[in-house]
Amino acid sequence: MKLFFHFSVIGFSNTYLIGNNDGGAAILVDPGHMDLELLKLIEDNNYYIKYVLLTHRHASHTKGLKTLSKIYDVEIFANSPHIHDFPVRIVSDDSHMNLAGFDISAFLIPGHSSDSMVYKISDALFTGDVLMAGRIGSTSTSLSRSLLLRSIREKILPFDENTIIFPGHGTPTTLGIEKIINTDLMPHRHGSKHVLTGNNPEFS
Amino acid sequence: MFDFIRCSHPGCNEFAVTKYTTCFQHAENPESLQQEAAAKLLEKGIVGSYCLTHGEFSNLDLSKSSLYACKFSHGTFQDIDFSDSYIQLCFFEFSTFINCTFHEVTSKYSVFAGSEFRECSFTGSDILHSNFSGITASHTVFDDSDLYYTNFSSSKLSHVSFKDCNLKKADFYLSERQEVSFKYSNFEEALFFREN
Ligand SMILES: [Zn+2]
Repeated sequence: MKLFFHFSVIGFSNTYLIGNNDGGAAILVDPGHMDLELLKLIEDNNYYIKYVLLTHRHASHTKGLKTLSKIYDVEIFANSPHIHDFPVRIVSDDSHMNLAGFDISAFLIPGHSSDSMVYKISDALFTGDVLMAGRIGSTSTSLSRSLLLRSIREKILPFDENTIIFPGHGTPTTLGIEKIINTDLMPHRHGSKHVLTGNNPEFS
Repeated sequence: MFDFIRCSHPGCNEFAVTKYTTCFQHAENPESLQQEAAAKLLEKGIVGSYCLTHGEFSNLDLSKSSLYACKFSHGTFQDIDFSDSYIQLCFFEFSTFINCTFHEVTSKYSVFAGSEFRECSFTGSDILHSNFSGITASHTVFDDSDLYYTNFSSSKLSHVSFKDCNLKKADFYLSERQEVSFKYSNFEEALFFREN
């Protein structure tokens, strides 16, 4: 398995290219923006994009689909049926599929959005905006935050600590790191709210 | 990516050393594995998709190395020169770095979280989109570096210098800082607190 990371300055989101060692059909997770750099990454490694996995429908994870679908004949997998009017193969909770030779498990983890999916390929989790380094996804209500936390606890945390996390925004991490450091997963720890001032010797 | 092959030792969740069936700790001859790893690193070609966790490395000149999609988690690195190296998608979490030089390195999408850094220097580096959350760092210098989108949340920093750095989207949420300097850096563009 080869994995490549692409950062989109538009939306500050991560796109992941997953393919076999010898090129061929490949998977793109969350094409937030399709640019020449990403196209070069795909072509220089002898891939063509056959499958797109969407972690959720928000624009910073899907906007590249329009350009991508003009270049490649892609099959789009998502939990939401409505992705910019593209035909979508619906992925349901706790489902399994094999794409480009990779066994993929899919988990519905609602809270950040109702259609938030996490995909597991081998020991890597593609978590979108569900779980990121040091934080969980943003939510609009305390109810959706509770729902998100409960789903993470039930479906993500049981994986072992060496499981690698490739989030939709920010840096890669591992489940072992998040179990220790992620304060959003610790109900009794609260962050500091101090405001920076110009008088602080750290900054002057 | 390094192969996601787990150690064959019953009950062990570690990833196996590349081309071996067990992890470093359960290897029959860990010494030779470590020497093999050091020799591989010293070749200074592109080291890709290599995994050896819990290794102990010291006194190596690994300057101008290229590491891609490797895993060296839980390692100990003492007196290692990583200057001018290129590190991408590599995992060094929960490691110990003592007196290591990372002068003018490029680190992208790499993970050093939960590690300890003592007397290390990252001057003049591009450390982009890398995970330093939960690190403990003392007497360590990041001066003149680009730390775009790098995560130092929940870190413990003592006598650490971030002078003249690009801190755009760098995350220092819940970091504990003692004798830390951000002089001449754009700390206003870093994240020090969150609106929950
Ligand atoms: Zn083992």
